[in-house]
Amino acid sequence: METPADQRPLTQRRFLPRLLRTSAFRYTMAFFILFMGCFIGIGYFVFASTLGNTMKRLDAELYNELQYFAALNSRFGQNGMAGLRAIEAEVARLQIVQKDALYVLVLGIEDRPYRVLSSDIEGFPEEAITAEGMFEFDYETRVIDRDTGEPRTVTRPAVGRRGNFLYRGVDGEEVRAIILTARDISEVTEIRENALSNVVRIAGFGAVLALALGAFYSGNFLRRVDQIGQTVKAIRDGDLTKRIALDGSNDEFDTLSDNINAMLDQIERLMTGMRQVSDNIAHDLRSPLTRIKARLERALADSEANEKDVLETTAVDVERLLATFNALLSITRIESGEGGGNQVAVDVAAVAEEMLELYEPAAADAGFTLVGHITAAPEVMGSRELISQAIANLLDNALKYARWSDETPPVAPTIEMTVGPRPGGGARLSVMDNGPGVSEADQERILQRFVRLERSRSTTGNGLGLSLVSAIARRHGAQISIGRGLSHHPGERALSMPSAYGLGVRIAFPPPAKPVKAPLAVAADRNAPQDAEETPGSA
Amino acid sequence: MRILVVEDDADAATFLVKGLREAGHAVDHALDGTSGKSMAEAGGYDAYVIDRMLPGLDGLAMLEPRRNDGDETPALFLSALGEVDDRVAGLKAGGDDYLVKPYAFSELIARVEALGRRRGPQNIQTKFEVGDLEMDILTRTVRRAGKKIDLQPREFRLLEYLMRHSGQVVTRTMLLENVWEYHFDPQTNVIDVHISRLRSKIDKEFELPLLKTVRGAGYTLTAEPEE
Repeated sequence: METPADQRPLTQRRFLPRLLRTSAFRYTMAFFILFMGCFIGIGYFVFASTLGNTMKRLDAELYNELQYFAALNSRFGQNGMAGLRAIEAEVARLQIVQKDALYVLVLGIEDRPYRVLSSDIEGFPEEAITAEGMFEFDYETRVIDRDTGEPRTVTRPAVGRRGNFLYRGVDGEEVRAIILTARDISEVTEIRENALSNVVRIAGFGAVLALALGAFYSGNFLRRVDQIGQTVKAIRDGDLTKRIALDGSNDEFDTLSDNINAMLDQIERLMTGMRQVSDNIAHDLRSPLTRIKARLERALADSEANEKDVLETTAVDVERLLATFNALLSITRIESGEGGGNQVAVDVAAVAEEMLELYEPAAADAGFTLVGHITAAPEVMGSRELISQAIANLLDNALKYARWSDETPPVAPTIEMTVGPRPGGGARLSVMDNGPGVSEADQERILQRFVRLERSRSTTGNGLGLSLVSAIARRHGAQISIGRGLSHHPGERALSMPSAYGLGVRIAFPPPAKPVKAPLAVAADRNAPQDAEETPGSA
Repeated sequence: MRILVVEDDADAATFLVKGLREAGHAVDHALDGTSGKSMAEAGGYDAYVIDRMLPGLDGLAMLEPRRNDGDETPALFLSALGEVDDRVAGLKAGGDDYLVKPYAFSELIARVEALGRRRGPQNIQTKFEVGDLEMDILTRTVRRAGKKIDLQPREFRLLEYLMRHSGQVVTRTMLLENVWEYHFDPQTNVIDVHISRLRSKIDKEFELPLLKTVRGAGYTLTAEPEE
């Protein structure tokens, strides 16, 4: 069964009307109309001036001819009709010599032609009697049809001028002679008509072409928009893995699609993160809760239970739960951009100095040497609270996990904090230790929430410390990386066994962003060459 | 001290009122912002403890008009919103301190008592004495039993805070906030180590220890012998 048209999704419905409504189509049409306007305007101007010149030339020719007749007349015209005879002879000669020329010579009394002396055409055109200067008229002439061989009458256009001569007849009466000299302009008319029909033809062709082009662009446009629309719909229906296909043309649709894809990646990452978090919450909060419940139930059932002991252990459990819960809440709030105070210029070096001072006694107490390499670094836009929190977490983490379980560690336990300018602007901060280190496989994982490595199961902690650091780094647009810390064999360079290093966490803060560019960050990263063109001064 | 508690959660309020009374304070309780405001207008309190989220009139909206009317009674906000922005908003609205739920009751008592003390003339006081320990803020000298004790600048500030609040319990968080001006919970014992260093300087060679640890709460500087 076929789906009724109105039940199909909007994107498939009534393609043609949508095609005509697209902006691409409208632009094509607007440009077509503009183009045709110019074309016709210029054509008319050129044509009109050419035609006008031709007519002027004809007019001059006719005028000169009449002057010539007048001169001829006055030369012979002193005695009676001799001038007329001369004109008649000359007309007869010209009728043979001049091919396109037409002559009519009539004699008339009181403006009425009554005797045609000589004529190339049928009858005397009405216009010729009254017209002043050059006039247009149609005349009839007989031609031999090329196909049939039969003579036939055709009507042709011509332009002419009229000359009047006055004679005294033998009886003393006034004799009026009218000479009409004309030129056949059927060629000119033909050119004019051809030009007109060409214009119509070109305009028609142009319109068809414009419609086709408009439909093509519009269709292309619609296809890309529909593609995006369908992807978005699929995602709305729950398939988050869908992405918009790029066609590689690098046009604005590719850029848009690329940005949308990047956004979808981000959303997918967040969704996956959320799912992980809820799984982890279920695990990390449920097991202590179950433990508490079991303990309380046991205490209730056992009349001789030491209530104080039960309450004390429960209080510890609850406190830990709350700490986990608070840490999770902080991470979520930091990641969602809430909280964390106003963005101010923070001197990371100064904060680091203060944190060193704060942690130095605790580190010494735990048997660590806390070393600071703090050099002045550019200020970072962000929150002093959050940055200090991140440094505190890193130091807490190092104090907790860089400990050697054996009595005699292979190296003197050291934690080194470095702050300095970052090449290319911004500030960098690192905290490195020479503890047992973390295997490369685990290095990626330790930033994730609730990840606690096997080794650290025995210590207290909720597996959120580094996640919080990571969230704070992301909030500041900073890059965080986990890698090698200090060597276990300082001074020996040849030994590069992966296990011979402690853990190092490096954070690279970006230079303060130009406020306007911030929302474009994703696009700028992904279309680096284009961006470089847009801001030539940025390099 | 006479304390006004404005808290809409009846269980939490009962617990608060009982705890504060046991600590020797006179406590009045309001269940919402509107009644809290009218009770505060009646006056006579030494401190307010106000929940930030209240039905009707919220904590900030309750306190702000009081401050505009010139009421300078110190106020402590309690809130489940723990982020810096909220803390800043609370302090801007005229709060003097901010405590995030869930809090340890010992922390609350310590802070409320510190607030009550803040009103005294001791802010311009430049000399402090606890037992035979003397501190002069102007000359930056510390003596115990007449003997001069050298302190690092931070140790001096730590001791100064303890002396200003002598006889009261101060918590680790209070120390971090007031001496270092950071607002977070360090997971390791950073503050304890600073205290033990200070202790080794002021108490070690003397018979009567002044800087005592209060189990589960914090520290107190007092010349009273331990019970």
